[in-house]
Amino acid sequence: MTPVISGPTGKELLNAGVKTSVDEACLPVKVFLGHCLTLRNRCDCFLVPRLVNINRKDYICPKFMGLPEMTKQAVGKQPLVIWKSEKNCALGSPQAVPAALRQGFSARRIKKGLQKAEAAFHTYHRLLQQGLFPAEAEQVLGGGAPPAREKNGRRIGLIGHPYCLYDPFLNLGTVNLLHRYGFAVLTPEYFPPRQIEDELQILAKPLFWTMSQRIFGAFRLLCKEKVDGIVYLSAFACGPEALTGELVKREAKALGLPLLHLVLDEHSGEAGLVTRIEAFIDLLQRKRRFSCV
Amino acid sequence: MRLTFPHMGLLSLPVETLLNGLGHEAVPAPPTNKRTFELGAKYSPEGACLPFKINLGNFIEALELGAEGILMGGGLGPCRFGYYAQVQQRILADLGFRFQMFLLEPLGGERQELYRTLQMLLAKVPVFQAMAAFRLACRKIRWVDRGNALLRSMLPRSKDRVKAQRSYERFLGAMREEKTPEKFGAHYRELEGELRADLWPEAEPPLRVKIIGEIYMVLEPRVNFHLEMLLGEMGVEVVRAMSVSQWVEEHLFGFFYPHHRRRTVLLSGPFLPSFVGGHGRETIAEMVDAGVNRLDGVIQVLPFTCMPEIVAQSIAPAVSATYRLPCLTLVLDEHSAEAGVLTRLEAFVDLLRRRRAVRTEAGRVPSGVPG
Repeated sequence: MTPVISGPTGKELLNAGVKTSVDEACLPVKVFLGHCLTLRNRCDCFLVPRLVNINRKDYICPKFMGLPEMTKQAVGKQPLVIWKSEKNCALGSPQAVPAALRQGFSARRIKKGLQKAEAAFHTYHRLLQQGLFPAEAEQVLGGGAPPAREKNGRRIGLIGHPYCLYDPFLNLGTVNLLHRYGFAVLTPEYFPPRQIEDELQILAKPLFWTMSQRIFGAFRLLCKEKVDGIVYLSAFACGPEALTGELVKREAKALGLPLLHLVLDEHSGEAGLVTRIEAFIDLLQRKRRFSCV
Repeated sequence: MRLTFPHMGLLSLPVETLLNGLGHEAVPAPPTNKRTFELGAKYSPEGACLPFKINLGNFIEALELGAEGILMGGGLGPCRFGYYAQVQQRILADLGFRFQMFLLEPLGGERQELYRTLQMLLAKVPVFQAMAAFRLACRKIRWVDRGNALLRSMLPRSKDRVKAQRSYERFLGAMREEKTPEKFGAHYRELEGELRADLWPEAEPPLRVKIIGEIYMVLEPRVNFHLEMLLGEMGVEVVRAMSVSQWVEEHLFGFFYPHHRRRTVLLSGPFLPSFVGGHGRETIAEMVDAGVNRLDGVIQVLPFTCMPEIVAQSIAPAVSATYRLPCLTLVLDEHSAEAGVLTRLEAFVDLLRRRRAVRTEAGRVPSGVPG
């Protein structure tokens, strides 16, 4: 079997995704379907995850649970292979591997393969916790040198779902912009999961979305780290973010921490985004100057 | 304690009975109105779904009337409803209201929270009286739902539709006041007599349309622009499986009524083999049911940004094609206007009428058979 991987997100891909999905779907689903459509003529079948939950007691989000069906609707006849993760069937376990992929391999070989994958996954996450971004971490994993960044000690937090933070097309290069201004950018993946879990204890009822937990926990950790400010990137029509965002906003207001909440969708224009981020950075600098005096 | 609760269609009737029976004072919010929409939309997060906003508006209006406690449902996710109460509590507290929030969490969720709520609810009266109050509320909602179903089937057939609706309003008013179970049946029979008194002689069965979708939007007529009445006035019989009593059976006493869940899993299996939260799976199951029973069409109602229903909406075309079942999706939020909804409904009903006429003219049996 040869895996075929779709390329980076682009305008055409996004438009194709927007066309094929229902209007109300959120941006990431549209992008996902766009990626599927670009692969349609290049592969025999799709491997689609059905991420019900990756931790006990919490879910990813309903759209991830129905992702295979939505994909089927978009790509038509092409067969789907569903990689399912559920309460009693973790993503890395041998029984989670779809039967179609397992065929013809011994149990030992599958187990070995999964171990290898897990080791790579852990190394990758360790690199992210050192403050690298996914593209840079992949470079390092491939044997390259970690990129050097100029440092002036100013740090800014960037929170949101991973697909918003790490896809430069979706967030219109926000990360690069912040780097250009000389900020060190801290994301939720910078913090070890254990620390994030500890931060969630203050909630009266645990959040039942894994990603929202990560966002909220990272937000509190960023406050403790005393970053200059936080940029919150969210996707339009994202369900969990509507409620988590409100909690984060109210918390930030209570703590007096500058927060910029940007909502991304397929109509976002770079100019509008850049203006707002620049204005936010100006405010941060002003705040810094006045609090020094 | 003066307790309030969110509105959802006919839910206020049994809950009021229950709370009063338990020795508390029920303070129902004023029926959802324009101000509720405004308050809800003003103080809620922008991206939250419509039920969240309306609930919040209800709470604000009830707290202004002097409610001291809020009784609210909980959930285990992944639907956002499970986290409504926590965010609403935060918003209301920041607005300066003083109140207590009591959550009815499902078993398997926050046990302490459920325990605290039950302790508060049952503190005033002995257990046998509480049981009686609960039984009374259950019976009341059953009869009310039955009356509602009767109206839905009679309205398109009756000569004077305004009068039929008035009889129904009177029935609801009488049921709301009733404190004992003896006369529930009598009120129902009275309504039945009034409705049956003036019917058109049956020439041709009216169009039958099923309403599916998110439970709040389906059940709350003040939010879905009285969809059922509008359709009834157009001469369409509205069918729906969803009701407050059915919800109680399925979600509170699912253990005793396992057939609801089995039916959903069985019907939705070929199209959506996984749970997607909320009523996503039920929507698909009901749509399949409508197709199998050869209904004329389905209308899916959902609040804007509802996650489970968007999954269902994406799959709906497949079901629609398989059973040749016309489907109209209405996505509503606080900016929706009645005229827009009405136009779409009229167009949809015209389409269904034409479809039926063409089929009978061609001498074909109106079929929903796949293939």
